[in-house]
Amino acid sequence: MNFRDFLRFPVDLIRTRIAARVTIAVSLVVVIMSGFFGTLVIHSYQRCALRQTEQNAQLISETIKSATRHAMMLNQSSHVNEIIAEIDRQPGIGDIRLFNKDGVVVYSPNSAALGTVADKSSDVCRNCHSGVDPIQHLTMPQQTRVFDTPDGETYLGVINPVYNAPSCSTTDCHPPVSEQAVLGVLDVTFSLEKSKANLQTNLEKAGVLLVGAIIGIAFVIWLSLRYLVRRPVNYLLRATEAVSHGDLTYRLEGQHRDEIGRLAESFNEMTQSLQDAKAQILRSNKLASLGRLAAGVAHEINNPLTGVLSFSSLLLKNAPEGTDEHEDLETIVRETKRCRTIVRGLLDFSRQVQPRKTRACFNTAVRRALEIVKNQLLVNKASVNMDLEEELPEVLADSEQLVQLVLNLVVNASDAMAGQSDAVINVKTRLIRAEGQDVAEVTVCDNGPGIPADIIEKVFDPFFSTKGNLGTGLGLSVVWGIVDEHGGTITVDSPPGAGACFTIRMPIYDAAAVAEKEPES
Amino acid sequence: MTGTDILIVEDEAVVGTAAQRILTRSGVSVQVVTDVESARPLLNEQTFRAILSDLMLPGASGLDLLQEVRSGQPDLPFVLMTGYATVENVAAAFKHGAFDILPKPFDLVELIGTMRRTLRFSDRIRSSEPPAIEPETTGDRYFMGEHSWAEIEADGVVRIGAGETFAGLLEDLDWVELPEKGNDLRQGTRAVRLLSKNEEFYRVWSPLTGTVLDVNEELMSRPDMLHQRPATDGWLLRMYPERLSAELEELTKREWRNPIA
Repeated sequence: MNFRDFLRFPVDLIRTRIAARVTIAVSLVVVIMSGFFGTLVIHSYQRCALRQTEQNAQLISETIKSATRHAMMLNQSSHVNEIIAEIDRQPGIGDIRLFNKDGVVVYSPNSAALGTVADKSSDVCRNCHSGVDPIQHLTMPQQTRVFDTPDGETYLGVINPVYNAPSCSTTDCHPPVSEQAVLGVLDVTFSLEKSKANLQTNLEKAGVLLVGAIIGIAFVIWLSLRYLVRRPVNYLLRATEAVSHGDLTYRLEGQHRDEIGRLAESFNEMTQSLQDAKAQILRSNKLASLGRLAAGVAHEINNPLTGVLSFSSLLLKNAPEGTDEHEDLETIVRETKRCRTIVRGLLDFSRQVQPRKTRACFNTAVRRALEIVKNQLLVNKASVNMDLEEELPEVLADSEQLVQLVLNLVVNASDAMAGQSDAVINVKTRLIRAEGQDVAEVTVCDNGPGIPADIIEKVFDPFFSTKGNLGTGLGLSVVWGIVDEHGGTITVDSPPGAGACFTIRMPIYDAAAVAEKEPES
Repeated sequence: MTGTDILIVEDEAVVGTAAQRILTRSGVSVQVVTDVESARPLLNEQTFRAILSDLMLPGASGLDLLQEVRSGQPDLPFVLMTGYATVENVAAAFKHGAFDILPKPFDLVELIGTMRRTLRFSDRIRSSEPPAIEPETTGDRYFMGEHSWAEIEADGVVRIGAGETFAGLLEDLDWVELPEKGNDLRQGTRAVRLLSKNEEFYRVWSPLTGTVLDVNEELMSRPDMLHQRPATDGWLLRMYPERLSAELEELTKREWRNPIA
């Protein structure tokens, strides 16, 4: 694998795999959402941490004030220095400075800072001294400031004004409260490096967690897609591939109750319909080519057959009766006549005529057909039950051929039950909805011996007969041809021990469709 | 009688030879030609008693020859041989005035039966014998030549019988073979087979296509009724027609007429 192939692999994966696309899309959404919410959380966390530090700083600043108060009252500056130095040694505390009213550092653990004067525009002083008169009472934000030292460390500074009190002025150190409200300012700075480091650590942890979560989610999605999408899709894919390779008998099996199950069900119905349609087309083609073949064969074969038949019958006439020769010639004549019958059967079949279609009703056809065969049915001792749907819509058909259809089926049923004492034929018409259109359905069912499963596929084939020499084997293929010419279907069903049932379906008359087909008429 | 009895027009040598041999042995003189072109001069030069012609011939067809003969020699009965493939032309052949149809392949009995009857008919026309049957008054009938008829009854059922000329030649009838009920018949195919006392076979061609519903069983015991009362009691069968409206166009609606006049 060279480098281009290596790059092409994931691209191909995205192009060809639904699971890869969905996984990547979901991961992207997770990254964007996590980034957005992560930023919000970090920002909020930072603010909380700062607020917490400010409060701690405030507390420590107040503690210094309280701790030094007693030494201040006694004017023991060395003791004050010790307390401040002690507190200054606590970890995280940067610098402690006590400014007097004039901005001079009067206490500081850093001896270099002692005596230095703070500029009013400096960070420490600016908050109170920005106006003409200094602000005496500060809010929390005004007391705090965040700043970076030149060596890059970040500090939080808290200034805490030291207010004059009556007890302060009892010594000589400070003037009375009425003359001076604020004695000075305590400035304490705290290093924020530790909380910065904590934040960094937390961010790193969150990052690792996020990456882990994305990988985990992607894996779960990939796994789910594999089981929920890829497997059923492959299952359907194999079926469609089988069908596209011409295997219309392929059926999807499985117990899916979801959309896949419904898809499989509809796929099975589709392949069944395709199989039926293919069989219909094959049979149509078979009948058509058989018709052409028959016409051709008859044309070619009739002249030589005439020669054989006439000469053999002439010889037969001259052969003395009772001789072997006479017997042999009789066989030749008989078998030649059999050939003639076969050729005529073929031609009868090839001469099926085009129907003359008008609006016709199956109920009328059934009544007329049964009227016609009434006597024959009486002779065969078969009784008929007629169950006709009232107001059955008309079909576009040759009315005489419709009668022919019913007649053929009823006569067939009656013949099948010859000699049966309880022979019953049920003829039923119904309006049903099949394959998205309204169709008229006629069923002719009998309670005869039925059709064995091994021959049921062949009953519509020309020259297939169960009646032996009594039938031409063309009746049902003619029926089939007529139904086919009318754009209908005929099916046969014969469950063991339940007789045979023929079902004809024809689309009902649709004036709009007819007008569309023949706009000029 | 001088001259040849039958002119056979047949391009297929084996059929021509077979017909010639069979007919010659039955005592009839025959001349065979292979096309209409060769038949024409013979018809002008000689007097034949009947013509047996194939339908499909090289050049002009048997039907063309039939039309020529009908206009030139209307008294000369014409029998058309046909491969079954063109049997749909049977009705057309009768319409054009053919005396009978002989479908291929045929055997000796069928050939002799048909041709003897044709020759009898020929002789009868020429001798102007009176008709052998009483003319009868009937309803609306559709005829296939003078060979068979169809009468439409109530419920669209059709009664079939033998035509006047055909029935007029059946005085020696011995036996009638009617089709089975429920059988399908086609226009121009054999509906009924008849056997004469001198063992000649005749056939009645069905004027229509349909399913046989009923047959006149009385004819089995009294075949002579077919000859004597062909328009009424001598009817042959009743059928449910399959292609009535289309096929009626091939038939002629007319009155019953004097058979041979």
